[in-house]
Amino acid sequence: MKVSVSVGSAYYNGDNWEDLVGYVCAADRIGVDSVWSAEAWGMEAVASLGYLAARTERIGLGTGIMQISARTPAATAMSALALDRLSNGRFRLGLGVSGPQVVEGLHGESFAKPLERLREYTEIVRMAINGERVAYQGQHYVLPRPGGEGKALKLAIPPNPSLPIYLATLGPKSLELTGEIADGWIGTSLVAAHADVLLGPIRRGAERAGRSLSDIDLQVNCQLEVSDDVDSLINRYRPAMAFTLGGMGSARTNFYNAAFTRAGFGDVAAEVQRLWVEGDKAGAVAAVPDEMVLAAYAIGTDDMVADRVRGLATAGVNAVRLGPVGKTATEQIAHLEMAVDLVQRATATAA
Amino acid sequence: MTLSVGVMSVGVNDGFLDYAREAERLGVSSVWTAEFWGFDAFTPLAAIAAVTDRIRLGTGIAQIGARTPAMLAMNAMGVQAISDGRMLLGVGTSGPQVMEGWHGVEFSRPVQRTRETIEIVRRIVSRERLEYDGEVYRLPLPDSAGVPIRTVARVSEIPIYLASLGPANLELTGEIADGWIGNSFFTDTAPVFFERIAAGAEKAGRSLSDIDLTVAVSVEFTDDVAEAGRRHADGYAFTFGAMGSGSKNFYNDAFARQGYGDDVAEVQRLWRAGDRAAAAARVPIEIGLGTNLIGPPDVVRDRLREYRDCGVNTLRVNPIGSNTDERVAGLGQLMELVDEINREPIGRLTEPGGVQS
Repeated sequence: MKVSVSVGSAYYNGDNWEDLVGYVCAADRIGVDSVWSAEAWGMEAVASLGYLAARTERIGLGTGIMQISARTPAATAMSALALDRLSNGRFRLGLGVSGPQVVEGLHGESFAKPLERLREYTEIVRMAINGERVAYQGQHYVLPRPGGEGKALKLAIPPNPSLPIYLATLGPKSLELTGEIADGWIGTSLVAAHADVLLGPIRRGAERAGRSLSDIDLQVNCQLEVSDDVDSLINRYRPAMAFTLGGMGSARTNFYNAAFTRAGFGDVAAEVQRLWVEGDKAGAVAAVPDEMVLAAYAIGTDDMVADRVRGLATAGVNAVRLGPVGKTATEQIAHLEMAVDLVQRATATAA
Repeated sequence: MTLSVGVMSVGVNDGFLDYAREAERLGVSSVWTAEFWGFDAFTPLAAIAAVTDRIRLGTGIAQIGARTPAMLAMNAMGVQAISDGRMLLGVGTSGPQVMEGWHGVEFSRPVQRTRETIEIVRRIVSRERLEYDGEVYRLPLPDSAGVPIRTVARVSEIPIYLASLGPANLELTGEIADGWIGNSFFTDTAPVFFERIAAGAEKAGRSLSDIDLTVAVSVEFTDDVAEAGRRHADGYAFTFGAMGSGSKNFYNDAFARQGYGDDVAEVQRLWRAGDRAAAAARVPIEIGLGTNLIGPPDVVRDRLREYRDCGVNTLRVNPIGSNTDERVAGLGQLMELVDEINREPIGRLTEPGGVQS
């Protein structure tokens, strides 16, 4: 199993961009599989990768994710091909639907039918990237626009039909879609002991398309930290777990909460969310049990983390995606070297 | 007058990063990308940011409508954040063929859409909690789960340039933009553009001199002016004949307002009739020569002076060359010529923009 890193987009908000570049350049030297940018409230995923493409040699560059409602499928294809070219073929296009608060609030687009839109959008992006003339009749997208003056165009630059497309999905149907049409999965909230909750639908989708789960590059987000003081680690990560269950999305649609519910933590997930939404954040944090924190993150002693990493590898995960850990750039790079070593050791034993 | 360069004509490859780096070394003020139906305009700027320190980074232009106004702001903020504040956001409406054909987005009310897009971008960059009640855009989407959002990104103010050709869009440029991206522009008819921009500026309590006026030209150092001028003129047959739709070609309208209406109409007719050779031959050589800098260094220097004197602040030059070295050499020569002109006293006109008040 490999290690990937995510740089998020915190550098917009005070983090030192040059330090992050140094971190990614170190990851490039160490042999990290790929680096993933992020997109959120006012922060986008493309510029950071364009910059990193010019500063790195080997590492894969992925958007984790570009939100589909914010740009036309053609615009996404244009950015994807620019990143592909600038990185000499190292780019992986990660797409996701984001959520209604952002899509309808910031972008002014309807969030209805996200699954169907994601399928159609991905198909159009693929047509454009393949260099096909883009004419499409979907339920949500019709190109060229009916009644307009436009005619179907094809890319004015060389295409790249092998540019991989990853989908960030969590719900059962969208996981099936990932297995059916994507080259990779940008996963979160995967509990190794209950991996089939998320990987099962991907497998079903893949088989429906005449493929298997191993045809999909499974990149799973997982915080990794080693310490003999396990209680401190748990207490440090407990608030993040509570935020994921209670603060992400809305009370009605929290995909993360739903995923943990399907993994057998339903009672806790509901209680944490209830407390969080009522405003009792301390209560919500306190309601997260130790075993849930340990199940969700690769934290603990060296043996515990190795065990957890092996569990992910056995489930079929291809790469764990880590965020920077440490206060300084030097600490973060040291942590990354430790993590790469640990994952190699752990999964060599498994093999 | 300062010089800027465009890079998309070079292609997005290793050479284009070298070219941007050399342009910075030569003292070029800004580098501009473009957006058609190939690469997007922001990503190449991000790569240039990684190999340069000072040169400013502009989209020339990013298509309004290809992204939501918020994403347009976010793309610009992305480059701004990683370039230490060097971003210049150039936007334009593109045309109905690309918007409706390639992007699937309605091309309607382009001037109003542009106005609202720029207003929304400014609010997002300045970190207002975003609520907008426009004629084209309403944010959050009414009756939805959307919430007014304040970006978490903190970046410095981003100058906004508008590419405009028609009178209403030129006035809008004067009213709300920090800069103008011009093309299809002849120095002797500069007032066709600048008077409209000035009128818009005055509406907003500003003057033409508050707006960075930029125009793009190709540059070819040659002793055979007739041959090169003819070649550049021939190239316009596609612009007049194939661009736009039957009813609307923004470039043709701009040339018509500068006295070339009959020529442009005839070129378009010949092109549509399938006689492309005759269409090319029908383009007056004055159009090739008047929208580019073509000739030996003395002639190019005189042409540079014409742009400076009519009020252009930034000339975006595209030195013709078959490889990066040749283009860089041409750029170096241009920088020397423009330095010479900038040391001269300003001659014929004293008002910025060439508009006599």
